[in-house]
Amino acid sequence: MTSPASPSSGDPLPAQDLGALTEETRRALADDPRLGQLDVSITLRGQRALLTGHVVTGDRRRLVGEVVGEHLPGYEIDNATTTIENLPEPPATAEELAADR
Amino acid sequence: MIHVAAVGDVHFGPDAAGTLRPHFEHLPERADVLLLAGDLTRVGAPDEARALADELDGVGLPVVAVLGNHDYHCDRADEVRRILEGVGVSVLEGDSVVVPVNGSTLGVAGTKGFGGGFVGACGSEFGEPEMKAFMAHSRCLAERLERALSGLDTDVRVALLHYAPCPDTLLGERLEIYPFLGCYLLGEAVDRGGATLTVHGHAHRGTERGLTAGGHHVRNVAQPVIGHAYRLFCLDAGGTGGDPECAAPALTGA
Repeated sequence: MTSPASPSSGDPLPAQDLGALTEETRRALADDPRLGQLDVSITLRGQRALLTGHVVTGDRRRLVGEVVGEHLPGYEIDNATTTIENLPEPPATAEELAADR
Repeated sequence: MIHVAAVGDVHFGPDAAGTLRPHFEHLPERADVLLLAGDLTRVGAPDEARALADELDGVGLPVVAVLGNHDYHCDRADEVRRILEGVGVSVLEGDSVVVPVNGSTLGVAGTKGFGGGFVGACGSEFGEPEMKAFMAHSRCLAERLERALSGLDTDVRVALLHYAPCPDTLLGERLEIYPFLGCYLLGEAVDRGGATLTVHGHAHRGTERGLTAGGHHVRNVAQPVIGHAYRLFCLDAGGTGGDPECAAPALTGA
């Protein structure tokens, strides 16, 4: 198993630094008034940052990638977040529930 | 039968304008009420609430909502509430509304709710003032929900929340954040007050179906979980039960 490397120097990044960097970036997504995004998961492995979770629009998805890129210079951003634009047609059935007896 | 449509966590803003309305065009043919389970906006800014209000204006059926934590972020929750109420949305917080439906009555009691955790791993009103305040807020909202539910004399009662009342519908979320996603006190309120259905949002990575400790149905309708513009439920006011899936009134022209 190899330690994560600092993208700028190539040296392994201590685990606590990696955690701090992840949290700082996550906080930036929450604090950015254009996003207010709390639930994007950031996974740092080697020189890559994998982003997962849901955002509402394609514009917000692009912004998430930009903000993360600004906070993780040198990392290759793999933006795997999904949008809920173009929602499928609503379901044809409704779930039936009996009233309490 | 009373048909209920529900969705939470639409996180709306001007950039999403026009994305929900097409799905709501035929909603009055399918449902008697639309429930919105909080996190209606991105950060609780008035322009975001206006964008959602435009989407809901004249939708053609009663709309009942609670706010979520995102709707409080800009400290302008009162404006968000007024903007939505301006287009006829009933925004609940510790109170209820009665919707007449074809000779029956549907009572909806709502609260944002709050965190605190679940049995075996929950906070308590002990120690620092901040911790006491955290749990007291959760308890206070749960008590208001119970009073609102108990005060409803309707054929069917529904509880509308943002935070989760049971851990079942959080499955998929990280265990460490459960105390920030819901509280057992909300589940106890539902069990004491009684509700055929409880819907909530907030847990984007959670699971749809769950039960309170007392066996009341709970559904996580966060939009990332349901993957649709809304989820449909038909509630039997007579208590006779039926098929677990009943046909929703057909969409016409959609």
